[in-house]
Amino acid sequence: MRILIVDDSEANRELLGWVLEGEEHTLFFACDGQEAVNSFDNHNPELILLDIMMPIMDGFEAAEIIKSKSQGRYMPIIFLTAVTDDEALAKGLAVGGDDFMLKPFNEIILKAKIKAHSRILELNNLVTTKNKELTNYKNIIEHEHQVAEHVFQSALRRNRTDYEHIEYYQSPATTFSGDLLLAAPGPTGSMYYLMADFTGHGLPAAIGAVPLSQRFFELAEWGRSISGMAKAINLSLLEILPDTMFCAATLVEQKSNGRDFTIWAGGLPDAYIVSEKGDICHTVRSDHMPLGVLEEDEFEIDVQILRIEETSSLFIYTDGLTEAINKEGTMFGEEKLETLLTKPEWNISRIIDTHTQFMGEEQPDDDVTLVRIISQPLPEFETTESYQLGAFNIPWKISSHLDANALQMSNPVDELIEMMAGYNNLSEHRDYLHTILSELFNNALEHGILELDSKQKQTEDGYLEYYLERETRLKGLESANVTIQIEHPQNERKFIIITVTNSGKGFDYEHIEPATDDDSYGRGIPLIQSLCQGLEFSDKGRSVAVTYTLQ
Amino acid sequence: MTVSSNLSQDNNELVISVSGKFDFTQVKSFRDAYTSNLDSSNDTSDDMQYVVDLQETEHMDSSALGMLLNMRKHLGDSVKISITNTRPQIKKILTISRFDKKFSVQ
Repeated sequence: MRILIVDDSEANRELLGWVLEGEEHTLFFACDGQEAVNSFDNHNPELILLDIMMPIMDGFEAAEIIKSKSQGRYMPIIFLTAVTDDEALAKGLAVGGDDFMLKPFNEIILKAKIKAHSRILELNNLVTTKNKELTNYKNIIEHEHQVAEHVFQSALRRNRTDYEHIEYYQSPATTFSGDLLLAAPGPTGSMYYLMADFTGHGLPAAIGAVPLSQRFFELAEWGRSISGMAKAINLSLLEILPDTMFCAATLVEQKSNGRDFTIWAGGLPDAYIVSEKGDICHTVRSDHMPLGVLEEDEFEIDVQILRIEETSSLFIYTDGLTEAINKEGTMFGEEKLETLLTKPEWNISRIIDTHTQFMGEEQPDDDVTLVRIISQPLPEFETTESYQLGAFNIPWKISSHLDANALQMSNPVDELIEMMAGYNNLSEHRDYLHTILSELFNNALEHGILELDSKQKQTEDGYLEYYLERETRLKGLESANVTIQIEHPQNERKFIIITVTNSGKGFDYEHIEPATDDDSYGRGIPLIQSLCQGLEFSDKGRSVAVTYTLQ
Repeated sequence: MTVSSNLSQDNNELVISVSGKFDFTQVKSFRDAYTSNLDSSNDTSDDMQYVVDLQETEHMDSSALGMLLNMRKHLGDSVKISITNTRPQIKKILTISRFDKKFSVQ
């Protein structure tokens, strides 16, 4: 321990120095208050033995200066006083002294006091270190939360809860919520909703929200059915969530007429259908396990299909609302909620006002989310983003030569479409290209090679027989071939040419009978003509080429 | 790639859903969907309505168009058949083929 001994009497300094020698201390000496302050600055002592009556600067003044300089850390000062001087003793403690030592010195007491202060110092150092660590952790966590919040906010960028037929409330309990309310329009003019409540709250609960929302928006954009959506989300959550965590959720699709609702409900409290006047017309029971619990083969996809009268609403909430307990220990409860819903002109903000009053100063310890979806015709949704096709910078060509064996093996159309799928945002064209390629290939195979007659498809039984015959003839096929070629011939110009050639006899392409609206055959070629720019036959009808513009 | 059908509780509406590719590979199952359901229940009402739900349909080609027309022929012109949940790409194919004249395309 570094000890500073301050006394104007040389005899006292020597005596103290002698007593403390051999105790593994480093000793510094000063003759007056001013020297003590200087020595404090230079040697950073851990304990100071300070005489009171000294020339130049007395002990009280020195103590005050040193104490003010050592703020924030433990700097024990022991005053050296005479037995009789009670006043000096009181003043010494008042200016910041920690202890006193009576003159004449008792060796044993002095050593014991130094030991005691040394222990306090150690304890103090430990606390200071821990404090520093805690401050560091706090800073790290704050930074991590900022990053997480950014990710969280970005994940919800596509959330569209801003329509007038949606009224909702989400509690600002913490930055991160275990509750989630998502809404997104689908490609057929319907609206998708997901209300979710992850086990727990705070950051661990919010972590699951990121992949869940990404999956939801993706499935909504694809226009998946509610059962398909529930199944896909369940599988995603099953893969990522730990066993102890799952997600109670209600998935809803509101069709474009605004009245037809498809609902999958798993684990949230029962939802209500409530009229504008406040009649509860129907209770939507939650009839499934939460998402992220059941394996794929056990998962139940049954949905409830409801038609909700216009101006009535679907009301969904998380249990944070009804299970909130106020200071008196009373739970809000479902009964109170139902009373509020059955008041004419009920709305979300009235429910929240009543809930806030009920809770008083007590904060609800779970997240609270409420949503009201009103049955009314949905607005026309602008398509999210116009498709910008990836650069078509280089000319390229895909060519596939299929012999009898290859023709029997599989459908080449799917594989060729997959090959082109690498182009950014081909998605919109993908379906048309699939249709065009299917038509061209099936014509080449069914008519060119297998020599089937479409007229057979006119009757219902004939239709089935046609395809049975197709199967039989294809199995028996020995030598034949079809070549499919897809070509992007020029730089930058966004079009492709599809050519399909077969080894059959060809046909009289100049006399194709147009199909009438009633014919269940002969629709392929008109369909291709509407989707493509040019349709040209050559080589006696054995080869056909079309141009498709990707704009 | 499946065809599934559901009869509403009041036996008034039959919903046929096609998922995956709607092409000739579905010929038999699609026909079964609107024929077998009727034969097995005698108390179906005369004003039965049909819905072909294409929400889960990824692609369709002209063989699917033929199948839908056969369905129309089988049921007769007076029966209401709706084709629902059509994505823009599928809707375009149905419109090109003037299916909106024979079906209610939604």
